[in-house]
Amino acid sequence: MQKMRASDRKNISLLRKEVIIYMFIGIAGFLIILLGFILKPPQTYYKLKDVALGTYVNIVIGSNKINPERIAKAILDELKRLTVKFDPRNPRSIIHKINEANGDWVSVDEETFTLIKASIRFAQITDGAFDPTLGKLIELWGFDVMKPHLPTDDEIKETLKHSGYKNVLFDDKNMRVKLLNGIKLDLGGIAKGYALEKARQIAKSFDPDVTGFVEAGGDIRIIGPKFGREPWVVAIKDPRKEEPMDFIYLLDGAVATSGDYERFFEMNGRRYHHILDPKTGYPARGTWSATVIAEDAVTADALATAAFVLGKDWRFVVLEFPKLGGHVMLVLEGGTIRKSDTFKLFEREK
Amino acid sequence: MKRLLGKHDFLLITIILALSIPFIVFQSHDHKPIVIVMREGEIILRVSSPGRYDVKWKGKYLMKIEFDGMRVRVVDSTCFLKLCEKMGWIGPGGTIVCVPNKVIVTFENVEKKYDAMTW
Repeated sequence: MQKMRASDRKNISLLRKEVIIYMFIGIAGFLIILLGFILKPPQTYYKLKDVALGTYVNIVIGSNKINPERIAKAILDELKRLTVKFDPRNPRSIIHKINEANGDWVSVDEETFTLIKASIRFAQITDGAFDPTLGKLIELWGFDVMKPHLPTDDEIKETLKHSGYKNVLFDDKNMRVKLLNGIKLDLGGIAKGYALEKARQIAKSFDPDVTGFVEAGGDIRIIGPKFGREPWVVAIKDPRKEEPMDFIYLLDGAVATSGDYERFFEMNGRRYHHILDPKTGYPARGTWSATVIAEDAVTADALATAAFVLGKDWRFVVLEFPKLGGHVMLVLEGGTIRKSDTFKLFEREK
Repeated sequence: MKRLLGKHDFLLITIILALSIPFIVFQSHDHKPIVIVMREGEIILRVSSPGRYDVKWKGKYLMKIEFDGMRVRVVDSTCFLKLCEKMGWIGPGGTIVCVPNKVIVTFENVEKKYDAMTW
């Protein structure tokens, strides 16, 4: 009897050991599977990189209902359509047609009418810091064909006479536009933002729950939160280095940056960049870069240009631009950073 | 009582589990820089070894790139602007765009702390 009990105890002890080992194997297996899930994103994004709007575009789309490749390609087609339509140098573009109309009324489609009106509205609310009528000045400086050079003071003064947003007239009834005083339109400071808004609209028309973002030359429009719930992490480029200087977290909305490092040339130790001050005709001074977060890409794009031009008056920009819908970060000449209080809200992951 | 698994079985299971951990951890973390050249959304050249490479599209020469194993640059281009050549070297995370040729030179398998960069 006693002998049997000893044998039982031995068996029970062995059984316990085996149970512990099985549990160990089970837990280890579960942890490994869990690790695999943690390291792998729950949804994959289709990425399409190409050239449109005269720059690099990156379309990142995720959808559970529609093939994201189909959505991304539809967006790219739209960006390419708008590239032609609003390029003042393209003879097929509506802007070219308006600019070459010698001051006559030009009938335009609703999209063009709305965009030009929006650009003039931004000129008004920024007191001309954003001005879509600098076409002749941009040509004079050679930034339109990427062959910039330094014009003479007299040339700049003379050309400046043929600019100014107050020289654009609208005929609302017949949807016509007229340019006075020999000005030329250049929607470069707003067309990219408009194209990004259209990109979002197209994505949502395919699938209202679509997520991702579209990036065009550094301007970014969020289409929907990452994996439907997380913010996209957007780096802000250091204007004097190739690396980020700050990060913002966006669930929605748009961000745009204007910087003196995009298109420029240097002469006698001085940098001449492509963001012209509508009041002087020279490249705006006092700012290295201006980043604006807004609810939509049109506002972000236009206000980034205006914020850059007004950068010397940084107090006005950081305090007043949030009232216009733009949350601003300025990097002033020398590297000093100034931000709207509302901008700081986007620097924290919610 | 007969044991279900012997000592050697446990040893084997432990070895399999131990070997599977690094496989799962490192399966999507290949850090070797790979340069890709894209046109119209398609990868037309993929480079993983240092050297100079011609970039062609439908048989037409567009540009020449140089890869040193970590960085890449455009050393010759048929475009009139030559901005892509002037950009110089870029490392993982960087992008060279040649607008006239509609060519993008960038890196694959790049791990970044962010999803996009505004500039």
